[in-house]
Amino acid sequence: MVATIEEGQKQERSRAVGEALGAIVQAKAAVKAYEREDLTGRLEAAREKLEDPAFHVLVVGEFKQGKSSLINALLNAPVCPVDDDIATSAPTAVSWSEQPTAAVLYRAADEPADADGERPEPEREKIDFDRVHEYVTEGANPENERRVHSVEVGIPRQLLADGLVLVDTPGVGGLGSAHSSITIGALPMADAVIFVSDASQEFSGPELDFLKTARSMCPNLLCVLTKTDFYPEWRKIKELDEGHLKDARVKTVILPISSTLRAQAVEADDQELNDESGFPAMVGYLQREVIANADALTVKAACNDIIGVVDQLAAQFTAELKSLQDPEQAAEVMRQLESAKEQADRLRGQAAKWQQTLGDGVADLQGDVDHDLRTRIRRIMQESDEVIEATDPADTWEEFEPWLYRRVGEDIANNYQYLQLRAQELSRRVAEHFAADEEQVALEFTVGDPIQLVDQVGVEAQIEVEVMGAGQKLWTGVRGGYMGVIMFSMLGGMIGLALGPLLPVAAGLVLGRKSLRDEKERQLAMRRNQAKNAMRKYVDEVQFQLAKDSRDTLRRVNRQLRDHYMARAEELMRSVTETLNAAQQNAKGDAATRQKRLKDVSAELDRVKKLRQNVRKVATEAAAPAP
Amino acid sequence: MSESLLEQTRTLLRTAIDSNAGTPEAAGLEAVLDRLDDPLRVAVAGKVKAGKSTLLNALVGEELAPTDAGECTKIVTWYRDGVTYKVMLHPKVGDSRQVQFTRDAGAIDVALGSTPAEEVDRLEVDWPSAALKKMTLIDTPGIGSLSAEVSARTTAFLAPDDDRVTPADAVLYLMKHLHTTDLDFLAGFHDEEVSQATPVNAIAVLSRADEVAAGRLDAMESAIKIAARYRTEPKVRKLVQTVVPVAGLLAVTGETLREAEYAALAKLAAATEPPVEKLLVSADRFANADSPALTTMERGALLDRLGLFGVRLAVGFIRDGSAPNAGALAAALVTRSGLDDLRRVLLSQFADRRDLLKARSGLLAVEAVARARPGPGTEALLSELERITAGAHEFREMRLLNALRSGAVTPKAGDLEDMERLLGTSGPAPATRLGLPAEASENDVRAAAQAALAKWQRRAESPMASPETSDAARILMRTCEGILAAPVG
Repeated sequence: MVATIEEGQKQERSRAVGEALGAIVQAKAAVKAYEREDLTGRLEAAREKLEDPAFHVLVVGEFKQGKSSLINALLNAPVCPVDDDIATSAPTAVSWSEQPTAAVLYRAADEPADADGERPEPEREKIDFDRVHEYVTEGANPENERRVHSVEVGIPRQLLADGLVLVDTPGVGGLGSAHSSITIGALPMADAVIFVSDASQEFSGPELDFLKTARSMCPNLLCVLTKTDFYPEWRKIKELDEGHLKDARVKTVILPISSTLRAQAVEADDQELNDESGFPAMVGYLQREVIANADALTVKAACNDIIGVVDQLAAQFTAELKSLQDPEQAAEVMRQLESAKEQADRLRGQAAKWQQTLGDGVADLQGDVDHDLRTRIRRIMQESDEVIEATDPADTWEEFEPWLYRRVGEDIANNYQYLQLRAQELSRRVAEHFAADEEQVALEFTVGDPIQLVDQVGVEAQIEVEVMGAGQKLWTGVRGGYMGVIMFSMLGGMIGLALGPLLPVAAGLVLGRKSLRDEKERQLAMRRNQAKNAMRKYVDEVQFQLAKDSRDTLRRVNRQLRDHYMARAEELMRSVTETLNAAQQNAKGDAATRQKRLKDVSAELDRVKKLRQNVRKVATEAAAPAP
Repeated sequence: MSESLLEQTRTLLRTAIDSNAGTPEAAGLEAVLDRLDDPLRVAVAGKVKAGKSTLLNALVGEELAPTDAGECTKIVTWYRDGVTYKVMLHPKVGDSRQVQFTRDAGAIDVALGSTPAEEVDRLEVDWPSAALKKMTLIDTPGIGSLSAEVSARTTAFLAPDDDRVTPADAVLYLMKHLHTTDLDFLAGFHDEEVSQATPVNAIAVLSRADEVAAGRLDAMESAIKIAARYRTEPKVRKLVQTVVPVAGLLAVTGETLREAEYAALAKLAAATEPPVEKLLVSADRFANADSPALTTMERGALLDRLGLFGVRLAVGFIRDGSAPNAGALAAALVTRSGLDDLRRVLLSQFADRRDLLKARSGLLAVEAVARARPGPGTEALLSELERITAGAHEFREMRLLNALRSGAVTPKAGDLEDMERLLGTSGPAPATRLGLPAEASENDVRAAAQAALAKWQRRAESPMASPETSDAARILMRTCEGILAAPVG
């Protein structure tokens, strides 16, 4: 059967995920056994991400290049409306669901975010699966008068079962080409991007520009050459395109496909035709490079969390072991533990270095992002002024409007990129400072025991692993943020220009006298002022919204980082406290009890160390891609 | 009646030349004066791979302009009727010279020699051809080329920044589907002064219409619907007279179909092992699959000439009996391609308006010079220019048409079509203006003109009419009076 080509690949994925899930189960058992329920939360979160992942694959490209046909052919379902004439005008996200469902999300851009920077969910309305086209095509919903944010569709398909979410985007460059900014704005949210161009001609200037932008924002980029069934010269076009990509230094592959052949192949159950359609190769690529990569990251992240938990337990036992092995040292150990407890407490406090770094860092970042935005806006206004001065708005306004939207959209995307990069940087610094403080606590534990130092290496690895862990969380915070502003500004926030007829038409038709020229000049100046005012009003509104959004985003980042590290500090505190209690307990007991306890703790420590080794193995294997 | 518009323009040009005697501008104006009697110059423009060269070849009826899978035309090339076959190279700087050329499967392959492409202003191909007698066709490099420099040559040609005026009288603008770059470009080509922005000298062609439906056989029907929709788009109406769908490849191959090609297609249509449907599933299969009916080379050649859609169409025609011989197939292909419709539109919109368009070009040239080089006599020149443009009824008609198109004048419901037709959008002949068939008798025409005159007089005098509508009605009255006063024949 044609559709099952991808079965083999799917097994591969499950193994790494399955092993990670297995490790989580073990860790949970250990946590329960050692009465550290405070550590369960982390394990739960990791499990959820493994079992319910979502990778967003954006399908982008100029309009009428075959994006919607591609998705329909990929899923073997008429999910995205396809028409010879009318183009898609709102994004459609397709994910897995047991029964076919559809829902429309309406724009709620004007609603304020709460104190933690969380924006309310857009209003969601369930609709009939067959009515999707009423919301997403230019024809049925011109100029997006229905204020559609996006449409979500769910269907039961193998390809989507692994968490893949396909997003059909409006084509850039259509009549209402404000759409291009939507697509650019959505790029950072994507896990992968499929750029679609048909085989009728090589990449155009605008297409190549778009590709360069896309590549810089999303490393997982794949080009697809469509309609190869219809254009005999497609191989030459592919070659030309590969050359252009090389010249532009955009590293990616170009896969040739034909949605028409694929549809025919599925209908006729023709394997040969299916191969000719190029779809198996594309799906294979998606599975190997995109899904597998994303999976690898999820598995690694989960392993980080497990190791973090396991290390807490290990530290507890190690310290207890020390106190048991050498009863003369008991008093010394107890003192060290008391001191460690104080350190751990400080780690939770306001004065902790990591807290300060975070607080100061966010404030700095806010200032810098604001400044970046202001500079960009100022430049846009200058450029717009120049254009308006050089032309007559009556003639050029209809072209100027979409240009302005595009321009603003680009800058929004750039500002966002900047925020993202700086936020990642900040996250790294906070992680380093936290680890340094944490080290203080741990080292207190282990002073005088050279064997522990071997695990220093483990600790360093942990720092790196920690950073990534925090980084993952950061993604969620930053990602959720900008879509709102982008949708608002791009789908036409501009107050219309009331231009009216050029001149009293009577004069223009009948007179043609010299004085007409003066009148014309006066009216031209008036129109230019009107145009500049409208432009300024719009740009100001965008800036206002964006500043609000970036503030909310940073607040969210702040909260997530703070919560994350605070939880870690609490865990550490708990570990130290437990150990202290156990040591005090052991000090009270007799030699026989102590001996037994020593055996038990050694055994537990061994078990915990083995678990850790196992998890490290799973993480390392996930990082190395299958040959 | 006073002098014709063209004559007035000629006089004005001579005056301008005299007052600018000795300057390089005068030489430019001399050239403009000379070409007043030349055939109309129609530029073929559009984005890269829109099908300009192919369409040009179809209009000429011969494969002259080279076409290719990748971007091809890089230099502005003129094709005009001539006494002999020759190609002249005009560099940006220096003397023009004749160059050698060969024909590569029909297409003209010019030896640029030591002159690199960037230094060539244009190539002029003289080619004896009945089609070119009516119109000189100018092939331009595509806009949106990856090489901005190449695209810039077209922009510089059609919408020069400085005060020069484009040497083209009209534009045939090709697009595969409507894109903002297309609108941007068309808007750039608009002129400002003589008749304000005019859709009169630009026609849009929905080119490569066969590709609209990704190879389905109802592609042309689909294209016709799309063109009709574009025609109602305000942005498009403002910039072009009308939108015509054409499948260029079908057209040019229909015009130049060879007996051998028909024979090959017939063999294909009759093939059984494998049947032709299996071959036509995709271009690759058609080109590479095994078939005893035709060799891969022969099939490759057919694919080049007709495209997959064309082959499917041709085979369909042969099988259903509507193409029993090469002549019938050629005719069927040309008709289906939309070329006949395009020719008709070109005739009525461009060729029949030749004098008006030529005069307009001439007046634009005078104005450009007058503004660039003010001097003694400029004042007089400009006021004469204003007198002509304001007074010429033809220009008033053009301005009214533009006002209708841009929405500056909004007529009563139901009047718009009548008004546009009376202004000549379906053709300048009196019968056509009045909505009568071309063969209508003189009496019928006069009767219709009288009725129209009465109607527009009523409109003009109605107390409910706005000043704009009254003025518009008066212009239409003048048009009717012109028809009634014109000598018969």
